[in-house]
Amino acid sequence: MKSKFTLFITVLLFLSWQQIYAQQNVIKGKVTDDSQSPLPGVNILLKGTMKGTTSDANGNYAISVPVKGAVLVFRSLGFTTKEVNVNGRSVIDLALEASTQNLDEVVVTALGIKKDAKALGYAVSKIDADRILASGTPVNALQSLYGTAPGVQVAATAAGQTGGMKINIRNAVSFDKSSSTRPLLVVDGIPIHDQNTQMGADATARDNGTGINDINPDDIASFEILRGAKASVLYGSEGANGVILITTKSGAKGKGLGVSASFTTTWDRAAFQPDLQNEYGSGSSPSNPKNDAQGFFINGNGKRALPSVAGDGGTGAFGPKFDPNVKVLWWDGVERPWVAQTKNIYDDLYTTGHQNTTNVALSGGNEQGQIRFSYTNLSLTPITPGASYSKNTFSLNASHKLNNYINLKYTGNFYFSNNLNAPNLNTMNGQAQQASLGAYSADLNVGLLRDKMVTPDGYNYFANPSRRNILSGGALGVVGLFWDQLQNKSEFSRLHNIQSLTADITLSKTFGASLVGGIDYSTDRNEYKGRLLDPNLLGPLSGFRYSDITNIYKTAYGQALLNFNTKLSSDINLSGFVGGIIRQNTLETKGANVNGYGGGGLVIPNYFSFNNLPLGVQPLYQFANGEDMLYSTLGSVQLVWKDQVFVEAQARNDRSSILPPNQNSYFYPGVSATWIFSQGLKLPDYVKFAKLRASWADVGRPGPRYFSNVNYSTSQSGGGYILTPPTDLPPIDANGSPNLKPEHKREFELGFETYLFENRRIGVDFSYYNSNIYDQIMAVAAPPGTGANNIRMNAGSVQTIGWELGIKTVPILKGDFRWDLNLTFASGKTYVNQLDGKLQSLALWNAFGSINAVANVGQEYGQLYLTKSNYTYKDPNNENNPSNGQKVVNAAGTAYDYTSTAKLVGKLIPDVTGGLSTSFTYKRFRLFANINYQFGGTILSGTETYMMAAGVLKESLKYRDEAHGGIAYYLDANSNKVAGNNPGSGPTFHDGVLLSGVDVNGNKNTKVVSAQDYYYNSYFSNGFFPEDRIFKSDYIALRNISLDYTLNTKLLQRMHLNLSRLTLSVFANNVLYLYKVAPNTIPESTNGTGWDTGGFGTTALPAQRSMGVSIKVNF
Amino acid sequence: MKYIKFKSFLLILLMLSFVACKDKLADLYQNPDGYSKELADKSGVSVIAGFFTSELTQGFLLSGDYGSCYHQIRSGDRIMANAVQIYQVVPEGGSAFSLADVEHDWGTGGFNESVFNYVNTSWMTPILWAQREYNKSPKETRTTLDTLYITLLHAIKGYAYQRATDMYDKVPYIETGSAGGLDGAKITYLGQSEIYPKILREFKSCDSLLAKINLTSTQQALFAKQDILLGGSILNWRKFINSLRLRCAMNVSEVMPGLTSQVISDLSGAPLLSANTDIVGIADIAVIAPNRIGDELGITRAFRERADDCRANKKFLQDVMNCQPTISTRVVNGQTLSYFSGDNSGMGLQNGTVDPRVSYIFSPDFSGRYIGVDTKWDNGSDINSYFNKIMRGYYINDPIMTDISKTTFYYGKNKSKSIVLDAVSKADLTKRDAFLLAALRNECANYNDTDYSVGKENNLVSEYNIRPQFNYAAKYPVIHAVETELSLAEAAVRGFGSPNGSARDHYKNAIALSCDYWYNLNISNQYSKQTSPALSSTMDDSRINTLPAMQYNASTYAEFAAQKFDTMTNQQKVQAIFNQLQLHYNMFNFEVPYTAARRLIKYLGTNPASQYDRFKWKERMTYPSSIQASDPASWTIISPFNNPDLPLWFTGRATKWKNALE
Repeated sequence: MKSKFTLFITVLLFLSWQQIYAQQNVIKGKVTDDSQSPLPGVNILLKGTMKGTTSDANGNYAISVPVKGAVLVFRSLGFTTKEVNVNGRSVIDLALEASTQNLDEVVVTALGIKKDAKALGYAVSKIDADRILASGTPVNALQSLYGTAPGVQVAATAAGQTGGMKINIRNAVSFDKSSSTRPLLVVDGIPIHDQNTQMGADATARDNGTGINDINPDDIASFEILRGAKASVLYGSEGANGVILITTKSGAKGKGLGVSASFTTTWDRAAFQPDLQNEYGSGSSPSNPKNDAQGFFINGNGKRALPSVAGDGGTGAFGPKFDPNVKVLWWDGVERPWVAQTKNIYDDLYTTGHQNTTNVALSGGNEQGQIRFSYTNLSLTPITPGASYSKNTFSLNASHKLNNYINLKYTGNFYFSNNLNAPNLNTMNGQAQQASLGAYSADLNVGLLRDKMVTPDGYNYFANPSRRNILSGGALGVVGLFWDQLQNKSEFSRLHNIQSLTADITLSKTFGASLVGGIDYSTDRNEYKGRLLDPNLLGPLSGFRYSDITNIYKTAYGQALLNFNTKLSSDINLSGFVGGIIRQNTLETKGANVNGYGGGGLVIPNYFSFNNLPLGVQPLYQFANGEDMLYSTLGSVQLVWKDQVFVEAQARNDRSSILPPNQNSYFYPGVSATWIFSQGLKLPDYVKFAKLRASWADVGRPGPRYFSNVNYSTSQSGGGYILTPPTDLPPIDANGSPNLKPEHKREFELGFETYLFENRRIGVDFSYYNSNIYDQIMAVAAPPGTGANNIRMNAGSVQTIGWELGIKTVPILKGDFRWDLNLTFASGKTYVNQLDGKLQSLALWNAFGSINAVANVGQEYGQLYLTKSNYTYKDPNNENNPSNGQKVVNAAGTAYDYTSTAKLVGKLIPDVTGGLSTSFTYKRFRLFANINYQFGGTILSGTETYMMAAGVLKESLKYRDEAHGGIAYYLDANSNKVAGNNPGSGPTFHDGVLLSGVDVNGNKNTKVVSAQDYYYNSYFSNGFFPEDRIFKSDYIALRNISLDYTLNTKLLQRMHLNLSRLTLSVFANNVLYLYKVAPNTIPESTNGTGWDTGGFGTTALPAQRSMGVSIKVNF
Repeated sequence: MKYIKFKSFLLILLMLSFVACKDKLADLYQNPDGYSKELADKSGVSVIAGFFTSELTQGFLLSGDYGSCYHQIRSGDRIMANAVQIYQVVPEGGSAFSLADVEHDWGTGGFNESVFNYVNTSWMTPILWAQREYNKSPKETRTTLDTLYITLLHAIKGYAYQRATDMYDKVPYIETGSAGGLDGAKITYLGQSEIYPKILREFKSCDSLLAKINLTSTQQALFAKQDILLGGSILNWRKFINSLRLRCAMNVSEVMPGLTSQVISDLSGAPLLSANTDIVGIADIAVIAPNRIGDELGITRAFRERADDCRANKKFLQDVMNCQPTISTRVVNGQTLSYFSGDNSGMGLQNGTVDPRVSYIFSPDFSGRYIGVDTKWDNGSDINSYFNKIMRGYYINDPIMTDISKTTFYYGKNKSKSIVLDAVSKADLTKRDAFLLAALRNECANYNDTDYSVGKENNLVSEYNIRPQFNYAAKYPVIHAVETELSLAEAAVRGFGSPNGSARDHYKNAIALSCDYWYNLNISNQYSKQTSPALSSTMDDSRINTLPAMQYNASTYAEFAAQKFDTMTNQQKVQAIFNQLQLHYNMFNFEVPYTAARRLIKYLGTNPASQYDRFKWKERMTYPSSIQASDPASWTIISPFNNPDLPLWFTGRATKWKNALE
C-alpha cells in the first residue's frame, strides 16, 4: 500500500511542475452589502471558465482575467448574483443586494463535488457557518444541528458537552448493536473515524466522545447533509445511513492579509433538575424500631443521630421532618439543628461551568493561491467538579494555482484535546448501591463532607475501616463523587489530525481530473489514576489503580476522478466522471492496567507507574489490532437539457476486506431526475422557482470489521489451552463458512421545491421517501440451546416511509426590518417487514431487566414492552365478582403485584421531529432563536424511578404525613402495621399507605405499609420497572437564543478602531423546555449514543444551561 | 498541452492500479488477534480439546460465581436458612412479622434466572461447538482423545441439565450427538420426567466408555493438561459420573422409585466418590484466573458482600452438631431470667459428643461461645426467648448490673464496643436489664457488632468461619463424597438398595468425611491480607489467624452420631441425612440441599429445611421474562409453569408446601 500512495503523490507532484503561461489583466475591488459593510467569502468567477476567487474578510478581491471580453460573476449566499462586464476596468467595487433567493446556490455533494443546488435530484441540507456559530461556539459541532435539517436528529447524552452525541438521519435503524446507524462523516473529502460512545460503570469507562468532537466549529464553512440514498450513492457501501460532509473554511483573494478573531465566553449551570423535596431528611420511617416516634434515629447511646448505612436505615430520604428545634448528632460528633442544609443541593454538588473559546484566523491570497490559517483555543470547565476540557486546533487551508490547468489544495486540521474526569455511570449512578440517590437528600452538608474527605496524609477520611459506617448511603455517595472527581484522575488526551491534498487538473476543454489523498489519524490515550483510599485497604477495594491504554485510529484515503463536461448540442450538456477510491482503516490498541494495593497490585501509594509493581509481577496487558481495506470504482453521468431538466446516473462498485473473500464485491447504483418546471411551464408570477425531483438508489451499510469471522478467544489454565467459541454466532452458512453481506438500502425519493414571491418570501422544500433496508444484519437472541447467545445473519428487512418539509419564509421585509422564520418538519414510520422469515419478534435490547425493545414483524420498529407488568384480578369462577378488574397488590402490601406478561408501553422512534428558527434583523441588530421538538417516542429513565424510591423527589412526599395523605397506623405486638390510631400507649404513625386493590385471592387489600416501604418496593427498579415512571420523550426545547449587534464600518472609523467589522453577541443555549412530559429528567439523559445505551439512562447527572457573550472582529 | 495524453494515461493507470489490489482483501479478512479452526488445523491443534477445557472454566458450572452465588446467598438463604439474616427474625432489624417472599425482592432476577441463562448459553456453547467439530470430522480421523473429550462433555452436559431441570422443570434440551442450533436443529423444551431418564442413560453410557478407554502415555499427558477439573484421572471422572447417577436416582425417587432402585443396583461395584478429597469442582476464580483478580469476580466476593448472611444458624450448631448452650438463671427484679452462660463445645469436642465441624466451619462469638440464632420470629415478648438468652449472657453478670456507678457497658474482644446507659437506667439498677437487653438486641440485629463486615472479632453470635470460607483454593463443591455417602444412606433407609454398606455405615462415613474435609479446608488456608488474592483488610487478624485447637477425632463423633441415628425412625433418619447434607454444603452450594428438601417434603410430611417464619417457601425458579420476546413460541409452552408456587414433577406433589405465615 505504501508504494501506491508514494506513486500517487509522485504523479501529483510531477503534474504540478508543469507551467503554462497566458496574457492576463488583474482586476481588484471590494464587495460590500447594501449597507456598505464588506462581504467576505463572495465567489467571483470568470464567466464561462472554472476560474474564480473569493473575497477576503474585508470584502477585497483580486482576479486575473483575459484582456478582452471578460465578464465577472459575483455570487454569495443570501445575495442576488450579479454579472459585471469588465470593459477594460482594473478596479470594480460592487454592492450586492440582499436576496432570500439562493437559487444559484452551490452545494457540496458526494465526494466533495460542487453542484448547483437547483440541479440536484435529491435532498441535501446545507448548514452554513453563520448558523453553526449563531449562538456561541459549541463544544461539539453537532450541537448546532438541533432542528436545522428535516429528518436529522441529534441529541446530547448524560455525559454532557464533552461526550459523544447521537445523530440519526431518516430513522436509520439496525437489528444489531454492531451495525451502526450513524451517518458517514467526511471532513474535506476524507471520511473520518466515528463511533458510538457511552459511559460504563468501570472507572475507565468514560465517554470522551469521538472524532467529531474535535472538529472545530470556528473552522467549519458548512455542513452538507446528504439524507437520502441517491445523495450518498457515491459512498456505496457506507452511504446507507446518510453522509455529513464537513467543509472547512478556506482563504480568499484580496488585498493583503485579512484577520478575523473571535472570543466567546460561556457560563454553564446545572439545569432541568428533578423537583426535589426539602421537607424530610435522611433516614427511615418513624415506625422503624430504630427510630423514635418522630422518626429520628436513636443511636446506641440513646441519642437522636444521623443514621448511617443500611443498618440504620440511612439510605434514602425518608427520615424525620425538618425541625429546627430538634438537635441531631452528626457523624462528626457535633449536634446540629435538624434543618435542610441547602436550598438546592445541585448548587453544592456541581459548580458553575465556564468555557472560553478564542479563535484567530489569518487569510489572504492572490491570483496564485489562497491561504487560511486558524488557531482556536477552547477551554472548558464543566459543571461536574474536578473536570476540565481543553482543545487547541490548528487549521491550515491553502490552495495554489500552479498554472491555468492545475490547482492544488491542502487542508490540515490538527486537534489536541485533553479531557479530565469525564463522567462515567458511577459518577452519579442512579442505582449505585452506595449512593442509592440519597445523595440528593436536603440534610447533607456537602461542603462539610468535602472538607473532611481528605486526610492530611492524602487519604480518604471516610474510607478508614473505623469510619466506614459513620455516614449514610447518600453521604457516601457525595464523598464518592468528590473523591473520584477531585482525587482520582481520568486523563484522556487525543491527538487528532485530518489532512487532505487535492489536485484539480484541467486536461482539456472536455476533460479534467481531480486527485484527493488524505488521512484521518487520531491517537487517544486514556489514563486512569485511582488514588489509594486508605492504607488499611488492600486489593481492588483500596481504590488504588493505574490504567494506561492508547488507541490509534487511522484512515487513509485516496480518490481519483477523471471528469468530463461537454455540450452535445446547444441545449444538451453531458458531464460526469469515472474514478477509483481506496480506503484503509486501521486500529491499534496498546496498554496495560493494574488494580489494587499490595499483593499483586501497586506498591508505593499513589505512584502511578508500571514500575511500581512487586518484583516479577506484570500488569494486565491489553492489545488489539485491526485493519480493513476498501477498493472502489465509480462513475457518474449527468445529462442536462436547457438548464431545465437534469438526469443523473451514478454507480459504485465496492470490494471490501470486511466481507468474506468469495463475496466481497458489491454494486451500488442510483439515478435521479430533476425538472425545473418553472422554466418550462407558464406559472403565476409569484412562483419564482419550482422544481420536481425524483431519485432511486441502492446503497450499503457495512458490517463491522471481523464481524463474520469465526474466531475463538484463547486463554489457558494450568497447562491446558482454552478455546472459547464466540458467544454470538457470526453470519455463517450451514457449513460454517462466513456469508456476511453488506446491508442494503433501497430508497425512492420524490421532492418538490418552490420559492414564491420576490425576495424568496416563501420557500418550500418537500421530500417524500420510501426506503427499504434489506439484508439487515440481525442479532437474533438465540433460542435456548443454540450454542450462542445470539445468531447473526443477513435477513432483516425494514421499511421507512416518511416525509420532510422545510419552509423558509420572510414574513416581514420592510425597510431596515426583516423577519426570517424557518421551519422543519419530519415524520417517518419505520416498519419491520421481515426478520429471518420465520421469526415474528426480535428482542433488540433489554433495559432495567424488565423492558424489552422489540422488533415485531408488521409493526413499527422499536416497540417497548414491559416484560413484567401490573395486573388486575379476575375471578376464574365468577365473572360478577366485584373484585374483578381491581389491581392486585402484592402479599406485603408494599406495591402492586406484577406478572410476567408483556405489555406495550411505548416506542423508540418519535413520530414527528423538527425545528423552528427565527431571526429578527433591524439595522445592525439581530435576534435569533432556535427551537426543536420531537413527539411520539418514549424515554426510559432510571432517574425517574430511582429518585422516587430514594424519597428525594417532591413527588415522593405523598403519604409522608397526614397533610400529604398518609394514613394513621400503629405497630402491634409483632411489629405488624395496623391501620388506625394506636389503642394503647404506643405511638401512632401517619406515613401509612393503603394501596387500593385486592390481594391475589381477590380480597380487598388491608395491609398498611409505610411510605418508605411503598416507594422502595414500588420504584426501586431491579427486575421490574414501574409503569407510571415511563414517559413520552416529547419535548419542545428552546435551544438557542442570541442577540447580535454589528458595528458598521463608519462607526468603527469614528471610534478610531481599525476594524472592518465588529459583532457583539449575547446568547443562551439549552435555554428551557417549553414542553416536556418526563417530570424529572430530559430526553437527552441517556447513557450513550448507541443502539441500546442511546435508549435509556440510569444516571442522575444533571444537564446544563449556558449563557455567554462573544465578540467577533475582522481587520 | 503536448503532455496531456501522456498525463491522462498516467492518471487512468494510477486509478486502475488503486483498485486492483485483490489479494490484500483476502489477507485482511482474518482477524490477526483471533484464533480459528483453520489455524488450528494447520498446526495440528485439537479444537475439541480447547472446547473441553473451555467448558470446565465456564462460570458457575464447576466453579463459584460472584453474581449467581450472591443471589443464592441473599435470596436463597431466605428460603433455606443456611445462615441467618438476623434482621429477618427480630423487629429491631427493621422487619415485621409479616409474610415476605423473594419474588418481590431486590435481586429477584439474578436469583431466578442465573441457572437458566447459563445453561442455555455458556454451559452449552463449548459442548455444541465441540460436538459440531466432532460430527464434521470423518470417523477414521477421530482421535481417542477427541472421543474422550466428547464423552466427558456429554457427562458435563448431563450435570448441567440436572441442575437446570431441578430449578425449572422444563428447559431447552439438546439431544446427545447434536450440535443444537449450530446444526440448525430447533431446540425443544423437555421436563424432568423426560430429562432424567435421558441423562441417566447418558451417564451410564459415559461410564461404560470410560471403563474401556486406554490412553497412551502421550495421550495421558495431554489429557492431564487439559483436564483442569480432575487432573486427567479417568477413574475420578468415573467416580464423578457415577455419583451424579446416584444423585439423579435419588432425585427421582418420589416419582420413579423403580428407576432409583435400578440405578442403585447398577452402581454396585462401580467407582464412586468416597474419600474426603473426592471433591469435584474448581477453585475460586481469583486463583484459576489471577488476571481477573482486579474485578474480584469469584464466590468469595459474594461471601464478603453478604456479610449480613453469615450468622450461624441455631439448627446447625445445636440441633445437628449437638453443641448445646449452657443455660443459667438469675433472678432480677423478682423475675427468673435465663441466659446462656456458655456451651458444651469445650468438653464435647474433646470427648466426641460435639461435632468437630463446630470449630472448623464456624467461629465462636467474641466470648468463645458457639451459639447461633434461631429462624423463628422473636419479638422480645418472651423474656426468656432464645435470642434474649444469648444477649443476656453478656451483661447479666457484668458489674454494671449491680454497681450504680458503672454507666457504660463494654463488650467485644477487647471491650472495644460500648453501650452507654440512658438516664433512667443510670439512676436505677432495676431498669438495667431491660435497657441492656434491648440495646444488645439492637446492636446485634443491626450488625453494629460486626460493622456489617465478615471476619470481625466482636460478633455477638457465632458466625461462619472465614478460614474455610475465604480459602480461595477451595474447590466449588459441585459434588462431594459426603453427598454420595448420604445418598447411599438414604437409599438404604428407604429401601432402594444398599450397595457398599448399611445406612448407618454411610451416614457415619459421611460425617467423618465431612469433618476431615472442613478441617483441611480450614487449616490449608494460606491466604492473608498480604497475599494475592488477599483476605479483606476489614477482617480482624484474630479471626484470620485462629486455627482449630486441634483436629478432633472425627470417627469418635461419627460413631456418637451413628448411635443416635440407630435410634431414629426412618423419617427421622432421612431428616438427619438431609441435615448433614445441608450442613456440609452450607452456603457453598445452595442448589443441592434445596432440591433435596423439595423432594423430601412428600416423604417426611414436612419440610426438612430450616425455615424463617416469614418467608414464603418457593417450589421452583421462574423463567427470564425476556423469553416472551426472544422466543414467544417457547414462552407459550413454559409460561403456564412460570409460577414459584407450583411444585416440580420430581417432588411427587401437586400442592405447595406452606410455612408458618402462608
